[in-house]
Amino acid sequence: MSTRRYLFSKVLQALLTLLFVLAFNFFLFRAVGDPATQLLRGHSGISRQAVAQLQRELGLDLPLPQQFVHYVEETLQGHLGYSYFYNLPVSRVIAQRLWPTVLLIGLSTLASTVLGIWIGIAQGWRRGSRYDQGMLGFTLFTYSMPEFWFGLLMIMAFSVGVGPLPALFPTGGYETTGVGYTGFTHIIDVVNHMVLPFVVLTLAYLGQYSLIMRSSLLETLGEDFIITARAKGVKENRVLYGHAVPNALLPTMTVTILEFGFVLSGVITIELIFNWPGLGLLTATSVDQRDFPILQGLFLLFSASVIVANLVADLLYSYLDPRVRAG
Amino acid sequence: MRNMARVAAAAAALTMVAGLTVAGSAFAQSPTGEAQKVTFIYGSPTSNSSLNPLVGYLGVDYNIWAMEYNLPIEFGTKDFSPDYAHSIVTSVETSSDNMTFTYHMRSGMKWSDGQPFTASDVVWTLNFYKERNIPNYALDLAIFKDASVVDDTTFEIHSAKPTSVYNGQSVFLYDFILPQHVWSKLDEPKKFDNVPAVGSGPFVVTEYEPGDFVRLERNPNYWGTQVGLTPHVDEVIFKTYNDENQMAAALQRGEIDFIWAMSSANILNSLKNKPNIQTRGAVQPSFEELALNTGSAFQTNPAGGFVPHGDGSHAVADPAFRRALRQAVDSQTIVDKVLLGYGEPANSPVQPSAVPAGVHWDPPPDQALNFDLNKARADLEAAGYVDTDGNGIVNDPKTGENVVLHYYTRTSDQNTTKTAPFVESWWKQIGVGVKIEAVSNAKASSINVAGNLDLYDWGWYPNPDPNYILGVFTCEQRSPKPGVYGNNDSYFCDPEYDKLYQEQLTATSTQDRIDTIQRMQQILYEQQPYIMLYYDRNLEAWRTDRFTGYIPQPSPDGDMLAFYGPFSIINIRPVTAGAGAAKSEGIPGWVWIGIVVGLVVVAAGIMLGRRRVSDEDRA
Repeated sequence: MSTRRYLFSKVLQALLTLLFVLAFNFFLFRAVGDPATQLLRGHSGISRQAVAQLQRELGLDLPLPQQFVHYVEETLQGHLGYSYFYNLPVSRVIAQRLWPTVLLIGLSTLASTVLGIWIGIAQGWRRGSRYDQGMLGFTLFTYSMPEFWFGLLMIMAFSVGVGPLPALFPTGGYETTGVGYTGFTHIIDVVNHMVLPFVVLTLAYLGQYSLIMRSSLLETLGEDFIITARAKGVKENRVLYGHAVPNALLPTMTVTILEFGFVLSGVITIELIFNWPGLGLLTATSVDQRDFPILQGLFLLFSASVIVANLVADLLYSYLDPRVRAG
Repeated sequence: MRNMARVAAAAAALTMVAGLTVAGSAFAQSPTGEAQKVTFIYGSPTSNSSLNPLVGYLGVDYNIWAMEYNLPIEFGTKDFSPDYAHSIVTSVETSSDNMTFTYHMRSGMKWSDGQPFTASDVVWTLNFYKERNIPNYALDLAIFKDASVVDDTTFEIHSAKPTSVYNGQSVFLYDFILPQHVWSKLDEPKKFDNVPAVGSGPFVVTEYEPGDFVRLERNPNYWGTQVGLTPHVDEVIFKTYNDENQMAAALQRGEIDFIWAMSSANILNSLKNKPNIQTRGAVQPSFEELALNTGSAFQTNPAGGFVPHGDGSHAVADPAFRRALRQAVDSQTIVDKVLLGYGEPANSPVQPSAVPAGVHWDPPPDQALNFDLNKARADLEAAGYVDTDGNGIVNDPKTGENVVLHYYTRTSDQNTTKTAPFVESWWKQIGVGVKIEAVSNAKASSINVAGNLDLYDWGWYPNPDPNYILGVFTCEQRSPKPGVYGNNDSYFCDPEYDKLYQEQLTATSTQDRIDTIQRMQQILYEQQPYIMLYYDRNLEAWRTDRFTGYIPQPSPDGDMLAFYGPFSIINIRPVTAGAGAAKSEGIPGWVWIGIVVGLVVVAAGIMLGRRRVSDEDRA
């Protein structure tokens, strides 16, 4: 299959998946119940007319097919509707949470990827050594521990202060409210708020990358071409970084790129514990509030992000490994 | 040669670190003039829903509006009675036919943007609320016909029928007055985000991140200074915390000054003995009940287009059965064990602090349905519920089936799930079975609207005036069919009660109104559509070393932030100069720079080291 045809078919696949998600999104949220009911609980003096009025305003009295057409039209124009709970445009509510999510989750994913790969390589290369054993234990421990529990411990230790440990960092949030920092002080303020959740997230997902990298490297090191390279007298360093790692990196790279696709969906538990205003937290609160428009907008965003990441992984993989293109 | 290079490299690195650190500390400033501002930060586990008074409806929404806007007559902090000395209205006259009410206002008042605040604004607002049928205020205006301007400081309210509710003896209009010059110009007022806001209160919203925080700043044109209301705070910030542990940690750290409406009594108790922190279970109108399905499937009263629907059991539709159930619920135990003491047993949906003063009713001792399992069993038997098949569960006299009630609790409120086992065990002892299921709020509401339940555990937060909560029990407020919402979740429908509801609205003397409302509470108690569990308290915690001057509403055990009006917020001031400044946390900037540079140097060192090794290797 020619490169161009491969590219085209992959992109087409991605687009079709996206369209399917669009439709599925809509019907999924309609299937679970009428939000007007939930919204109106607790209102004083609700009359029949007021309920009908609200349903009209929310477009809930239209037949389902009509609501769907309306939804597709609006989505393609970038109008994601109005939040039921906040009564603001969905795009506004989501946009405001985008940067904190990308910042925290993106950076910690990057850090755990880079660190994880580095550790995994060292582990695979020195398999059986004390470093390998020690790191295996450590990464498995951090990977399997509940991150919200670890987060709470970190808050107790470094925010509130326990025993000799000093209360160094804020307990949560994205920045200090009430002081309106700008420029450099603002950056440092955000950094201080981000330290604890960043450390927790990086450690929690380290194991994922190091374990895959390690086993992938071990497999590669058993391949024939490695024996050949050594027989040719290539230096060990070169064998590792010139021959083994590039081949071993492929599966890890796929996982990594897909992980980046999930960055936008945030990490609900960490955002909750640290009161970090991200998209994961927004998802959780919107589910509780039955805020369909926001949930639709979020799920569309998350799906698109994963589909795009998947596409990038596919294309990159085929570029890096000619065998994929040829097959 | 190589060693020298190494030393030189190290020296260069160290110099660089030192230099940057010095430079960095020059950059890193402690907060400048900004921090001399006095900022009061309060947090809550619930986010506000909207800054728009036409749309929002949560308690936390009302708190913000209480700081931004005025009611025609304000609730006094002591006992909710009218506070004319601090309201925009100074007096009210009633016509002889009790249908025209003349309100006199203060002069010289302004909105926060400098525009004059006059009777036109009040008249426009009330007429607008009435025309648009705004849910928050609809019941306040049920008997309101329209309002008209007499002059800049005088307006009239005309009622559709003779009434006492607008005579100013008690605060009835819990309706925020909006600036006409802003709102009348909007095409879609309900879509208005209202930030930055124009208001008449001591503070106005200037910044808003939905679900995160709301910032209010001093209103430079606040009319309250005329009558001695001068705030001592420059800024108020309301922050939403999604995790209460984190919120408690923030209070301990001094990141916030006040926690309002925490939901976990355990976490509140953990704060009790911490230094510089005080806690309180504040008295508030909130109550919790077991709402019983008094017959959504059996009633035929067509009020509001009602059609019988659902599958509620026949037993629960029987008032004698409900009364027996009431006697098998020990509210005091639930308060002690579930609320950890932060509450009181309740008998009436009209709270003790309700106004007009004296309107709250409690059953006289001879009518009280006290907790008594033996009596409950006996009453059940007398009503015909006997265990005919010997399996420990009584049988319905009409249908012969075992009485097992479908009982829903709500996952978002732990108190409901903790209460259920107590109720289950008491009712088991009198022979009534239950099937308990925990669902989300939205699901519970859907189930109730469909009538497919026997009871659920929910609560209300009534207004100071009982008109609103009493209205919930009228026939017209029932959900008429599945899928259409109704406030009346017990499906209670009593023509006598409905008649009395109209009578209290159209009573021309306040005392007559009070008497009628007392009679209504008696009917509700006899009929038990709600098994009233308790009045729960507002869990609050605050730092004592930051602000002082809180005014509880009602006095002395009420909400320290007195959010039915702005009076507490106006009165609070820093304990000492400088105590009110917001602080920031963390490692100073120059240390961060040092760390980053240090890491870069280490990484460089490793890379250089590796290259060197490979050079040797090649040699």
